[in-house]
Amino acid sequence: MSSSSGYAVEAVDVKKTYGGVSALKGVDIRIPQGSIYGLIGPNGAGKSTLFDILCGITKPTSGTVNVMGMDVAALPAYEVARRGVGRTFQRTAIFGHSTVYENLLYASYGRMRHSAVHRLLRLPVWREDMNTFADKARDVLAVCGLTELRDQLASALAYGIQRRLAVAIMLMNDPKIIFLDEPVAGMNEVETADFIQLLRAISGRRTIVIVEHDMAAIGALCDEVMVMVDGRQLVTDAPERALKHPDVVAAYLGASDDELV
Amino acid sequence: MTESSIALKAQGSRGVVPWKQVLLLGSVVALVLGIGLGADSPFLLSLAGYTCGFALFAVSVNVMLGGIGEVPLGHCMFFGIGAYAPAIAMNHLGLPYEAGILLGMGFSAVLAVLIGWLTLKLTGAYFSIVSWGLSGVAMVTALNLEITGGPLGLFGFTRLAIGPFDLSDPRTYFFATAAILLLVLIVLANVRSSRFGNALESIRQGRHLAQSLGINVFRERLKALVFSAPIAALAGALCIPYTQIVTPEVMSVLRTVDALLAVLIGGTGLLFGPVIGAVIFTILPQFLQFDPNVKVLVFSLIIIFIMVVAPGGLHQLFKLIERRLEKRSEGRA
Amino acid sequence: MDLLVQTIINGLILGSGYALVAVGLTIIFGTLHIVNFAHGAFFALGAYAVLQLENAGIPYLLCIPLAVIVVAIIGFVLELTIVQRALYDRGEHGSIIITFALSQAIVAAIVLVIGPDPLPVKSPFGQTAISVFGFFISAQRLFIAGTSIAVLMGFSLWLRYSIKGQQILAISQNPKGALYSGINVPRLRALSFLLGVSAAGLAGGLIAPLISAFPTMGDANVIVAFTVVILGGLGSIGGALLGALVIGLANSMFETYVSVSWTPALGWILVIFVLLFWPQGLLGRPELNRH
Repeated sequence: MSSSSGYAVEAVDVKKTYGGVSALKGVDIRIPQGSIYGLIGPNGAGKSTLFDILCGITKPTSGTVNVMGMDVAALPAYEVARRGVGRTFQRTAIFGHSTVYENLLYASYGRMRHSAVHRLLRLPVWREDMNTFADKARDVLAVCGLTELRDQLASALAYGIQRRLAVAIMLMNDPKIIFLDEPVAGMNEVETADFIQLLRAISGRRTIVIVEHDMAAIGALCDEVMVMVDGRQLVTDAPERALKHPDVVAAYLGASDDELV
Repeated sequence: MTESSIALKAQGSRGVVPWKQVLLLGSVVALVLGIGLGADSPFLLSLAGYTCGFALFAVSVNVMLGGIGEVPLGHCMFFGIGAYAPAIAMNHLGLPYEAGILLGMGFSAVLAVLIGWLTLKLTGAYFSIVSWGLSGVAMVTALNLEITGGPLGLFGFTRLAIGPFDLSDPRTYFFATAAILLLVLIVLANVRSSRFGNALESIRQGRHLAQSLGINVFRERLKALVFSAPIAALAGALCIPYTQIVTPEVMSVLRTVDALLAVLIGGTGLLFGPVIGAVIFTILPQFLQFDPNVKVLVFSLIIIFIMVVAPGGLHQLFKLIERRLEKRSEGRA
Repeated sequence: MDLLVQTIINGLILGSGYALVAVGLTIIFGTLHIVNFAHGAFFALGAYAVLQLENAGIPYLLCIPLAVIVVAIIGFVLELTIVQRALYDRGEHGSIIITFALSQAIVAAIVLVIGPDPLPVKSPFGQTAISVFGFFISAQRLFIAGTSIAVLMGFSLWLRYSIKGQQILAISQNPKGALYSGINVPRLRALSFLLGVSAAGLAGGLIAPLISAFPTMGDANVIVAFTVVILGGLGSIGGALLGALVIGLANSMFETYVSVSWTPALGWILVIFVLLFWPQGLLGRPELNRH
């Protein structure tokens, strides 16, 4: 499924306009397979729009978007998800009215094959599904450090733990590429450090794309970052060099104080 | 651990260990037998039968309300189709009652596919308005057509029987409806804990997150409607032996309101909630000898009260009171 | 040809009456973000208030403003006891059920207190009709259209030029921003709920002499109002007027040229079609409640 070029994401000249206002003015982006890639820039730079386009939730006005060898602009969002693209949301990332374990159960929808009839008659298909699920859930819970919290109600968990659960939910589908929308926003230092460790642990051969305002986290995690300003890419480089680039410094100084990180 | 015990554990807190299931089933069957054999009054028995039929409708409404979080104001249309189908089959087509039931269930399922395909892209108030609108059209249609008997409706049915079971005998009627209700509940319990049920629950809690997990939200919502419509139709058909007449009023939105009440009283999150609600809702007014309008007034106010105080149903209210009492006793100690 | 012109005139006048019902619905949606399923019940309350006041010997023209005050008071009490507690920011699911139950309760209360049968409401315009270029317009209908347009214009001006009106507009566009900029959001929401149901009550009082007062009289009108409001774009007053005229025309055409006994279904069919094909309204607003 992955493209032969060695890139997990290849997008060319992506444009997006909302009723006459252009949010993206032609962006090219190449994300190498297995890398951790950051998207940064001041508010309104278009990074969230690009992010939504890459994971198939928003359709671009023009341009080609190829993620893991598929044309995501042509597929419905749920289909993109089924083919190995995972993402977390800033807010609605967990099922609050259910337990941690139930959250994982809902998340394994894509890996299950049984119908209500199989369940009713306790047929082998259902048994296999549930056994595979139990194994997978055990692993994911262990990786994310949630084993003890299995039967807790998700909405009752601490914020940092909820973000871990969001990652666990995503991991149930074994995504090949993961999109994280401001994963450490609102976390304290300890939680951030823990979370970075978790992301390192799960990265392996997966590609991870992050939109984030926390430059320390970006610096600690990413192999490469793209700095966006005003719907365009400004600089693409390793984080330590990109952040010192004169254009980037100028762009951030040009922004008002509260947009600075 | 054996395979099956892992599998059952995998159901999480919502699953039930078999012996518990068996115990529950046994006590419900005992209750049904107790009522059926113990009660002598034909009136009480047929009222109990009707209650089971109505509970079935409430269960169907709850597939939408508790299942996908939509308020199906027009669900009474499927109930009405289910009632009209056997009536038309018997009075105009010379078909038996059972065939009419099946026709009604089949027709309502097909209609649900069509309606759902058109309307389930809408959510919230928009869905409720369209749903209400469709039932309004259905009611005007029933008033104007000849085959439905116009405003007078259809009556004078020949033989209301399912196979060898004659539903005009109150005791048989009660046993039959209770058995069907129980069967539907067992199926529903399994559906809820299947992949499909999990998908619905995840959609109800967070549509966008569900979508990002690969769930085709629109299709699962459509499946929920198509699953619930024939249950409503079956409920409509099973109420005929009690009412003995089918008029356009069966499609009145008040019917849905009644069911919503039953569901809200019992609690949307529980499998048995709608049944308990339906029992309270049909039996209580009979004993208090309510005028129908007093009934609507009282129960509407109860709905509002429940929604304001305990949106999760009466059992949530009991919990709330319990907590208050505990706090008070702690305060004293 | 004469029939057609007469039908169009009837339609436009009918539509201006609908606009009044719709504008109340739209203002409540705009600021509270709930669809008020009890709107028809307030419409009926307005009609019954006029009826009762008339029976007490008060002339019709004085009954109308008094009835509006009565409905506003009832609305105020309900806002205080129910709407405020349960509806704001609680998600749609609850607001649909509560407002719907509220409408059922009000209708049942009317039946219990006054009775289920239609009762005539007298108006000084009676059955008189005014002849304009050979076409007849009932004086009552003309009165409705005039009042309705005057109220709508006054309302738009108030929204645009008064401080409270500006604040209400601000809330409807961005409730959070409005809160941060120091607007008393709860009080203005209460105010717009009052205004909305009062408009419904006014419409009820105006239309009652034409159709008599009966408990479920609001149902048909609120369905039409839903159509109008959705067609015009939820929350827009100009849109409500436009939508109302379109629907009024459609209704009167249908009654004249198709069938009277199927007319009740027309309102439903229109609302269904509008929601399915123009959920963003005629004036093309961003899609609401679609995914």
